[in-house]
Amino acid sequence: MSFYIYRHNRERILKGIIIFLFIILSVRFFQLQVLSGSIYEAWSDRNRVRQVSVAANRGLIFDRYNRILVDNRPSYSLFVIPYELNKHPEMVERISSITGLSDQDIKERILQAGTGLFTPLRIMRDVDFETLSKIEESRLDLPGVFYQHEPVRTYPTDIRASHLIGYLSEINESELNVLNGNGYKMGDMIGKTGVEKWYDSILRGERGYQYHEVDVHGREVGNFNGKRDIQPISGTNIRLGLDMDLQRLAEDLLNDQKGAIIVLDPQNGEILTMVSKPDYSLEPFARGLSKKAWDNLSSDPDKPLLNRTIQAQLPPGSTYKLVTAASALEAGLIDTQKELFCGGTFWLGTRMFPCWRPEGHGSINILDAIRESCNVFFYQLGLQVGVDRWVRLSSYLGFGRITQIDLDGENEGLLPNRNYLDEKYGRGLWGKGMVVNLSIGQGDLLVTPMQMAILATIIGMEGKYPTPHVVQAIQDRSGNWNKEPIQMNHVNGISKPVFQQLKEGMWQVVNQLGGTGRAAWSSDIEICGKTGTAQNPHGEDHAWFIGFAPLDNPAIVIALVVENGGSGGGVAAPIAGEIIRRFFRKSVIL
Amino acid sequence: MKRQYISRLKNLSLDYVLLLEMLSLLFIGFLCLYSIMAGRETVSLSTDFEKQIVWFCLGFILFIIILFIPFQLFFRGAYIGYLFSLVLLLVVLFASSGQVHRWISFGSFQFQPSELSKVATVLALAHYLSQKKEGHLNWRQFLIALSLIILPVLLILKQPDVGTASVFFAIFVFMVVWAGITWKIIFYLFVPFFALVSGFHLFSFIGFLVILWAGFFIKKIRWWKRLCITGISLFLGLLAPVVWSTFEPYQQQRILIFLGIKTDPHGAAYQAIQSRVAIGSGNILGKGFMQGSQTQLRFLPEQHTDFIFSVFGEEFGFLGVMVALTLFLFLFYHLLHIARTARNDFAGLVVTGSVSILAFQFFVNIGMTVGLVPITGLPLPFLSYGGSSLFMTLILMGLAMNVSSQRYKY
Repeated sequence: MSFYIYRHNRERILKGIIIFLFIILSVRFFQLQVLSGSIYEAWSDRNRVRQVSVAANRGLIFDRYNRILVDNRPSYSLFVIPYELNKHPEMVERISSITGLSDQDIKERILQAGTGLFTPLRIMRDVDFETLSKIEESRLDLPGVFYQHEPVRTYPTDIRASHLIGYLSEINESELNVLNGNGYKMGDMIGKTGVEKWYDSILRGERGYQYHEVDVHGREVGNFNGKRDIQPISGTNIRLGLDMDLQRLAEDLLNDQKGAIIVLDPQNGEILTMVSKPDYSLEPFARGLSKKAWDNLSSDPDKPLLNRTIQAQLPPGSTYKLVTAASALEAGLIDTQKELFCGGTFWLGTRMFPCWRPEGHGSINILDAIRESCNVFFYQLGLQVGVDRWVRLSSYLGFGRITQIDLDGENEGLLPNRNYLDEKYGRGLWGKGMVVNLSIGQGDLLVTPMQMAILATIIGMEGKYPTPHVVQAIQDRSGNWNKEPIQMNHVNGISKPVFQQLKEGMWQVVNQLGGTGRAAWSSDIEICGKTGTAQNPHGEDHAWFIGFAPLDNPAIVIALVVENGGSGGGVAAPIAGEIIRRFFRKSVIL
Repeated sequence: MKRQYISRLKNLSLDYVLLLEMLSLLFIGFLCLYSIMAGRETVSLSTDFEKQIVWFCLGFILFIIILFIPFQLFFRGAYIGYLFSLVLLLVVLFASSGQVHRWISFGSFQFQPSELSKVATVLALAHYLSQKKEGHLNWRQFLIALSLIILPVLLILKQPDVGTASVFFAIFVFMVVWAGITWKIIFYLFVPFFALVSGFHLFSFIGFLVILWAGFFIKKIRWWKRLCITGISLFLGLLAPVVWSTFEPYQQQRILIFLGIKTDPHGAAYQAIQSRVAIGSGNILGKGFMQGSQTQLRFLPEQHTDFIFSVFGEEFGFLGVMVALTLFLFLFYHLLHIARTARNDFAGLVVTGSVSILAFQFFVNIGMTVGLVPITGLPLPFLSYGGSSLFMTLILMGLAMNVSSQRYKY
């Protein structure tokens, strides 16, 4: 025997090893597939186990006093297995006669889903009991049709808060692509707006799986193997800063007018109230909104789906005089003593700009001008300030950008700077007339109510403001509430005395004779505010009120607008007054 | 230089049979992957199919590039590549977080350095072995070759990835046999191996020692050698339980279940059973493309990676399986033929090393799906989903193709 592996042998040896392995595998496959094939086939047939996903309970949503806003209720969804439907096409008619879905609907759903033949496909949500019992009766004729428990949202309160809470709807393909791999799958309900959207990933929980053994007729024989089941994990509960009572009051006060109300806590940025009208009911969304109902909502000219508090972009009107005043005071162009004259009109060349009071205010200082909301005073001041300084100060105060509230779809408004105006009107083709308009919150300027709430917060807090947020706390697995962090921001470029002077002006608006915001007055609370009556191309003026209370170290900030409501002092101020008074009355009780 | 490339291009006689074998196997892989993805309900998983196609395209470009690189460059760069792969293995140990350190991430792409290190080790070992003068390896050369293997193996065991580490021993055995080796070395190599394996059980260890001593008397080996060998065997035999305790609990479990010592219908054995049911229920003709209920109902675990051959077995049956196995067999024979007719020792050794990787993973992976081998998580070349593995396979094929297209040119 040779002691070496010779070169001509080496290929034979390796080939030998490989053919040996090949034969082992072949024999094994022969044994499995040919000799025992029928046994395994029977096994695999018997193994008609259905993997059923078990929906997790979505996290609950509470208000700041732990009163429930959003709950889940049990419901049943109807599923079919496309494979069985292909095998028994006559089933389609039967299903449609029981459920009321048309043949076409069922077939389309299956085509649309584009999933595997063995994947259970949901054809109906929130099926009523009568339909369920009919399905159960014809069990034998409906292999591969089954129903399954799926919790849906319910809203056990008398408040709407539709925009704040937000609705759920079936996930669409583009969302699936974005969320790729985060446990989302076709047919899932996903938050589309409001808190439901922003916090969807923590609210949704994790779906579980069960394995149900079924016979050839699709009847469940039993749970295949409990040990393989994966229990669903409920979503995380969250608590909003929302005060349900204040919200209810605000919704009632706005009634069927268009508009928005924001109430927040200036110390920590929690949103106490967020009303946007017109609103909509969330219940139909939970049941699965019909296409017609959806079309009605989305094509409504009053835009009920719009969350006006953060999405409406409106001219702020006289409330913006505070910004013009801040610009002038910070630049030292004026102090509280200096007086300017208002004769009822202001002439710029041949163009006449009126004051709201035709007879004029006479000689007044800046505090008087804020109190009585004199236009002519601010026309003159605005011209002194100039557009660049005014834009810079506006930007310090948060205009022209989003407030970064924890809600989706926030708009940034429009802060028209020199570049913008040059672009729109042509260089040199806009002039002092535009500046005059901007200085009283008209012209091209657009703001969101939330930005105005932040303005009121900054003034009330004398230069600092928390980033607003609707969620106050998130519950951990052991039931403890973890507060969301408060982010306090500081306004640079405006000194404290300026804010104090503005506060004085805003105090006078509500508390002194001749103030435009007298309707918000309260005997025991030092309410400060500023009204606005914004002209707009869509009809009646928008009525604005922004304010805070009390004067020192404010506990509440409010910003509200009634679209096409009329005058700020007449329409908006009374609403604000009532809400603030309710807030303090309640604070005393609690 | 430029002219040299043009002349290479002109003189290149492509091995179309090899190309066909390769593409057929890749096609089978895509067929299985498509069937699996068609049964998935999430969009995210169907993009895995697209991802695999992208990887294939990139890998194929790599394959073509390798085809045109003069083979001497691989010889020259072998050690540098080897060192580079060791560095990558070190990086992956330190850079990745968590319990398992297998991947390096580039953005959303993840890459397994251990796949690259297989190729690099083959090249380095081929470089070393091709420089020996005698017809076979002496002890010194044998040990140096062994240490070339041991370094990456230790780093990969640390990841931990026992499956991939075991591939290196297949590489070693094949290449050393190819380089020429004495039976004596093989004997001395197998003694400690058997000592270690039998050491897990007292009676098997005693049986091993009895056989060893019987061998000594037959071959009349010197006394001091007998004592040395026995000493080493005893040491290794006692070491075995210690080695056992270094395995992860899931690995211990898998081995125990495989050996039939322990049963676990829900854990490791569940995968093995479901895979066997899938394959067995395929019968002779299979259930048909996209009709495999075990696959489509997702009884089959890890179906697009480790258990992809079970999908094939279920849907295409025994006949399909035999076609696929025969394709693999043809490929391996073809590669060994290329190795023998290669222009130089280095090229022959590289191809042998490639065969060893492909054949070993082929046997371990498919053996695993039919319950012949414990579940190790080694991918099936050409078929399994995964970019790193596909790249590695295409690189090996590129090297073989390069050798093949040059072998009759002098």
